[in-house]
Amino acid sequence: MHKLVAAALARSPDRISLATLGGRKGVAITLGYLDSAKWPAWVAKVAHTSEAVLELAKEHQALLALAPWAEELGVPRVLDWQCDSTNACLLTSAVAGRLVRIIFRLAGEPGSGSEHLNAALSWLERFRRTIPAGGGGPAREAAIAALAPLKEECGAVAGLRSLLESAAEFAAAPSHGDFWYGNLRFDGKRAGVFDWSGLAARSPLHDIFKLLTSCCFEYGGAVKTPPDVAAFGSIWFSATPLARYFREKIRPVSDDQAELRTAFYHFLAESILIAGPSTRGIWYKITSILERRGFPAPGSLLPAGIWT
Amino acid sequence: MAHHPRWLETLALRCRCGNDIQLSSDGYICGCGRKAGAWDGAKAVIGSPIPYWGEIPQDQMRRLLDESERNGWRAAVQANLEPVLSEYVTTPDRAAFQEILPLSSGALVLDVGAGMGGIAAELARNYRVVAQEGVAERADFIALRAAQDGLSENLAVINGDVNSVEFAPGQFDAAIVSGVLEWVGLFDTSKGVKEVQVDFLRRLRGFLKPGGLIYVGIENRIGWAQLRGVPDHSGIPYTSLLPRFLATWVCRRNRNYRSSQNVTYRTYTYTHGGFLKIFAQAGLRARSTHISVRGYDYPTELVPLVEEAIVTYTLEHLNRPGGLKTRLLNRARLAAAKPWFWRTFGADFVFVLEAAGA
Repeated sequence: MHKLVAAALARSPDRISLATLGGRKGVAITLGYLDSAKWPAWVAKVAHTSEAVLELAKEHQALLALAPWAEELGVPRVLDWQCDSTNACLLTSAVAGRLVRIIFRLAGEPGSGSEHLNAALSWLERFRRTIPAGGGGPAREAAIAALAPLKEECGAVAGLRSLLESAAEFAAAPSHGDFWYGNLRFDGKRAGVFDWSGLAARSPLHDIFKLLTSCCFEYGGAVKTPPDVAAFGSIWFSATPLARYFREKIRPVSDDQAELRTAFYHFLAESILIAGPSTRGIWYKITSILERRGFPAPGSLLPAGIWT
Repeated sequence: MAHHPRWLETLALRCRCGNDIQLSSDGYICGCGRKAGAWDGAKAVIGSPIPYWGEIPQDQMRRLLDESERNGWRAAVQANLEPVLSEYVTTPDRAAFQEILPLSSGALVLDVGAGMGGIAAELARNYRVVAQEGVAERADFIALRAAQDGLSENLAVINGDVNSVEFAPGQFDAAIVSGVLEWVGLFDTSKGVKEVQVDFLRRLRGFLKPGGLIYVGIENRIGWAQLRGVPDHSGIPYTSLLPRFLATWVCRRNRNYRSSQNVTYRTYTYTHGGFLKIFAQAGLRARSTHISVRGYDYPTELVPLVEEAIVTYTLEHLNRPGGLKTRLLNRARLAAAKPWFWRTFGADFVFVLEAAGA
């Protein structure tokens, strides 16, 4: 047992039960439960390898940066921290709430999944409003340069190149980086978020896509992830050159709303073309939800016939 | 020639005459003249080693030892053992329970029945560990892996039977009993199984310093693995579920019965309540009880019998929503996410015990 965990046990006047819930490679996660409490009292992450120590140090830094808004955003607070080159322990408060597997209904009345999806999107809105945009700035030249090695064989490259060349300036927004439902907890309709080692400036779309591609969708009487959504997820998040381009170079989004919409929907439309021909209606539903939540909405700039 | 760690000299055995025998020289001889054992260069040999038994046949074990000396133990294990067994021997996960053991750095830990040293070697990265193993070849292997991994300063190997190595009282901060309690009945057939197990725990309690802990990893007699028909320690499915006399009858007559000693059914496990009873008889009480979801051999996911922890674990491990069958299964698992259900049917228990008066 790490000594920070032992100290946390010793500090508590009440009995605490420990749970170890596995963890990523090189990191052990221990939760401390007060017998009478609804949620864990704290979470300890102990890193045993140098790579894991670096990851944990990033999370520690992120949580310190977010500390002023921790209450408002439902972000863990740092309770204790100790680090050397091969061993580190980060002790934080736990995020109140339970894990909910979001099932996004595509037909019929909105179900409980939609409720939680909306809560997660509301959280993202709050996050973007609350946290000052970090980094970003002019990135046009870098984005165009990044296109050079890509072949013209897929329509997306030409479209995105023209998009980038026409844009004046791009800016990134703060992003969680791994915003899937497993990193969210819901206390009623209020969402809290943990696992902050990926906090960085990126496209604001990154977190939305991560969330949506991790959801399950109910359609045709079955609950599963439609192939297009899965393919889109793999394009956006995989380690191919094209994915890198999507992730890193489209991320700079203009401050101008119209340009932002253009960028988003060109990107979305082209990537759907790459992803596959079927179930485009699902993406239409997704973008409808985004529109209701105040994220860029579809409009006349969409390529003709893309949803049909 | 390997040397024992300096701190081993501070430990003592208890002679039958009642005097202590310090492990400070190479020969462990009591003032009464009795020779308890000796340091043989890589390990302490106390009493007589038990006959060979283990996951692999004896000749294969000897080849593994030879190759470990030549090529390094990790390479030898990977080359000679089946992948599942290789993982079992090499993975640090086997000692993942240390995250719940409130031990300070440098604590003195006794790993009872250390096997191939998977737990002892990993614990030795943080604590001083005495790995006690009855089979000579396995004890040699532990000493070899400790030397090759640079852990010899923190890991001392004692080759001696779990029921006969008698430490002087009050020396250890913790004792690790992972997959051992159920077997001790086979190594002493002079008494009833429960009596052997209680005596074993009572002896271990005596080895501990005040406030010391015993970690026990063991199967639930009526756990869901047993109900599903996973072979019991007898080598035969369902024997743990039977009344003991019936299990004995089955073992006597079944050709799959796997104990080489052929001493009938002596590998008792218990229900949660049954364990608490034998702990109490040994003067111990459970400080915490967990279900080890991956089995006590891989204690990376230890869930305490606390409703919120069980619900959290269950939610995180539900199957991804799919057809009707998956949904029904998920609902059933959520409905079963109750402490009473896990306490009754959880497959493997992990207990942290302390002296009843502590």
